[in-house]
Amino acid sequence: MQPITQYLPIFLDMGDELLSSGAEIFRVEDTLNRMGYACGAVQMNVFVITSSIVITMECPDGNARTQTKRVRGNGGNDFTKLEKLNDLSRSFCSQPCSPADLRQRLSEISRTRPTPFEQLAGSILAASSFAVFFGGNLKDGLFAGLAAVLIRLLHKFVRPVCMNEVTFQFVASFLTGCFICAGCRLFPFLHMDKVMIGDIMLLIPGLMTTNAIRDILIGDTISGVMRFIEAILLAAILALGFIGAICLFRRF
Amino acid sequence: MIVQLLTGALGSVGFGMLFHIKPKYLPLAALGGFWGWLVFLLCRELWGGVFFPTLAAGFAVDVYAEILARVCRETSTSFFVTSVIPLIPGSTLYYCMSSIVEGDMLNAWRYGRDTFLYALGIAAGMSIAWAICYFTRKVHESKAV
Repeated sequence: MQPITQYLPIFLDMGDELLSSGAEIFRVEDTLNRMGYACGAVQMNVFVITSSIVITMECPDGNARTQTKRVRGNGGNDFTKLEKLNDLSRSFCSQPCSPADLRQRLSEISRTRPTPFEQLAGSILAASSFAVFFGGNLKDGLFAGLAAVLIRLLHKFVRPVCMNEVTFQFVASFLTGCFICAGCRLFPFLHMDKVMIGDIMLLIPGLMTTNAIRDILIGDTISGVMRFIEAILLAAILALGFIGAICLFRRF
Repeated sequence: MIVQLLTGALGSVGFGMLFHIKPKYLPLAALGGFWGWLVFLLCRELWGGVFFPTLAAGFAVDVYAEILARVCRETSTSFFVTSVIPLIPGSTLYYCMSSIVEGDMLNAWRYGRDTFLYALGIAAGMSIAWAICYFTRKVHESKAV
């Protein structure tokens, strides 16, 4: 029988994966608690905020162990991965497997990624629909889709060389803004506001704001406040980028 | 209005693909986007304003997501997030900043306030629904014991 503290680093990685696939704070804490009790811990103390995970595990023999993990990624959304992690934790709770086994299943799951094609198609569809949704016509929708391709390309090639999310947000919104302004100058029949709104929907940290307020309301105050400030910052930077582009094009 | 409902549903599907939900759930995401916006429109007709319609829509969408989560045995997050997308205040944020560019502070303040109210309304609606779901689950469990 291996000591159950061997599970600890795997739990930390599991928490990290959960956070980066869009799980809420309470869900991560709940999952890790359940998994800990399932493998035989007497007491689990799990504390999760958006940037770190702390777990203290008490073993039946009276020993306790604490380990922390700094979480660097800032919350993407990958729901296929989330479902798989959820299934893993459910099956682990009903029938615990060995640490090596769990590690292997976890690393298999962490390899799931959406294909670039899916992301591209999703972005185009979303941007086009929202341009029309907010009152644009079909041409506006098509052009918003074109700008969505640009956003995706920026995400792929510019994001890795940007210092952080805020820098990237500025670059992306400024360049997208310039692209849309130039397009509307070339084709005067486009409605610039509708096209921009369609593409703003892709960049806006709207979900982040909603999640942040939700976290605060249900009691995960620290995470909520951290996320809220981050979201406000991203929204302000987004506005700054687009305003910069609009002002630039107004000069000539 | 019909156009809005349909494109809202399509937008939900787009974000569903972007967030990599399982392809078999994409129609459910579309239905969720449709449902959320429908509730919002109806309540806005009824009450006017921004906060209460988004609160009701957030509530309705979360109930929808919780039901689907039970039926499909999946997490409610993936259904909630994709369905709530049309409610996200992208347009008010845009008009807020375009007002700032034009120096129209009165409108900038109005749109900025609306943007915040949208976000607050959605979050509050979902929190209420979440609390009720938790409550019913607990009552259910204590009955079973």
